[in-house]
Amino acid sequence: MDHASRPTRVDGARIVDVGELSTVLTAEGTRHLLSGTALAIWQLCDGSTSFDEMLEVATAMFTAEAGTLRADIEVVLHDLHRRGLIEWCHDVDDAPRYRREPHLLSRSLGDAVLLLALETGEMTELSGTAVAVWELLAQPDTVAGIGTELATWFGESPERISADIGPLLDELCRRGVLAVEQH
Amino acid sequence: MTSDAEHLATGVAAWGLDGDRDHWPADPLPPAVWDHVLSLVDEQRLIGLLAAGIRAGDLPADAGQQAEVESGLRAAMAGALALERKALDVVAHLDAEGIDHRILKGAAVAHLDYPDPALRVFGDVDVLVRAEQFDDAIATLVATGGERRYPEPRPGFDRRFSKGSCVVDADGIEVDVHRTFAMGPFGVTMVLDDLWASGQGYELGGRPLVALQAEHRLLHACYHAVLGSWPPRLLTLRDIAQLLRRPGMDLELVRTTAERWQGDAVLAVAVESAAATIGADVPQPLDEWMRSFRPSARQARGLDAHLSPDKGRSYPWKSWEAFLAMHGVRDRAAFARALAIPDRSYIRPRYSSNLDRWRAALHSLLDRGRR
Repeated sequence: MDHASRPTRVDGARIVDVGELSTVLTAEGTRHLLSGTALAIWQLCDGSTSFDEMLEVATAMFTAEAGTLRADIEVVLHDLHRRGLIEWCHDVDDAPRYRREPHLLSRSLGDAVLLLALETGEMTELSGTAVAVWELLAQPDTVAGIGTELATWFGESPERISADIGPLLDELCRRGVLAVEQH
Repeated sequence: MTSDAEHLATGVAAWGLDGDRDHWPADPLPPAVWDHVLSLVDEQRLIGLLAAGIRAGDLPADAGQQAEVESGLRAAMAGALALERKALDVVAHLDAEGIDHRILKGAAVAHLDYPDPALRVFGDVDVLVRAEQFDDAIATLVATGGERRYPEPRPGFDRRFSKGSCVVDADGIEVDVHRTFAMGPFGVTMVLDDLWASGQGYELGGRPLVALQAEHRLLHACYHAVLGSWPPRLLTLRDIAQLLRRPGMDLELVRTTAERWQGDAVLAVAVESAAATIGADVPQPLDEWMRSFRPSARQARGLDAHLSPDKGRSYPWKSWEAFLAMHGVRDRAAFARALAIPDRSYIRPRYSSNLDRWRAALHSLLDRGRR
């Protein structure tokens, strides 16, 4: 994620309590029911809080690994933007993008993919979801982007998928088959 | 080897071709036959085609057989990736020394001529270098950790007369450094400059490589099929079939080049063998040309030397025919001297003495005379 990125709530949107639930009502009159975490993040979108600062707040609030929280926040921001609740001109472009390391040799083996990192000579075999992630990364993408895409394939929530693939992406980076593009 | 198993292995080599034959039964093979076929598939490096055929449902196999093939494929592809990494290393070393090169055979055709490189298994790295840079290429590979497998008869012999030489690295990976396509008369009459006038670039691991142009790759496969070992390896025949069906292949250029190299007999025999064995589709006008082709007396003698089933005895024949095909007294004299009185380091691994070596050669030539 671009550490300088500062998402902003759209003009006219406000929190409206309905009983015990909190919703966000847009200027156009559309009501959005958000989870407590999503609502907290939306409130942090004041145009001055950066992604990293949001991550710091979340780390203080929740007991979860930074990698998982980072993926969660990305997914939530992605969702808020999709709903039109925040403006973030460079949201997608600014998020860290995972890409295939170019100096790799590979073979597709039906339901598996065999990779050899040229630098280290380390062989990696991908199977199952890892193959799907690898296929998606024919084009660089963010955790949120991958999670959203896989969610439609597997019928899971993007948040759940993104949380699951975070460690996988980290491991593939460690093995030298993926790299992260930071902005 | 049973004829059943051979027939089935041939069916694997033919899998996916337009003229695919009905080699396989509708049900999975019984264990004894399966084991035999799998051993042939392994020997002929056909595991990629077998795996693809099974996945497509064309070659029936039970769950255990499928698992066995997938496991074999993983091992073969892990080997292929290691070889490609080695090929990139070799190219980097040659580039650093300003030595021209072309990637040959498996590491090139797998990517350029097959729809999926996993179909094409290979077991070593093959690279072509210019004759005048041959010694430098070998020295470079030796300096970077390789070891020359066989000494040359005399210094400079490989650069002038050999098909090439093999360098083995510390991991046991073989790098075949080629100067020409074949030993013997057909290697002598090739116009090597043709190979350097063009090439086809491709990328491996994000790095650029150069292979021979497609027409030369087809000719190389033909030379390898006929002059490498006889009967030809099924995988080499499959290479020929793949190249024949390659879009844009200029078959007229293939034929005229073979003629100029005095290797049209090799082309005709190789293509005919691919068609007869695995049902390779031979487009016109090559098919018509092949059917009417008759080799010259000299080509027939050259083929005879190569198609002998006795490899040990065929070497002196090939050398003799190569000698006859050479132009220039100096070349002939150097060739004859190197083979007649080679360095001791060359004789030692093969024969107990030079006399022993001469005796074997004489037997071979006398045998040939009797035939």
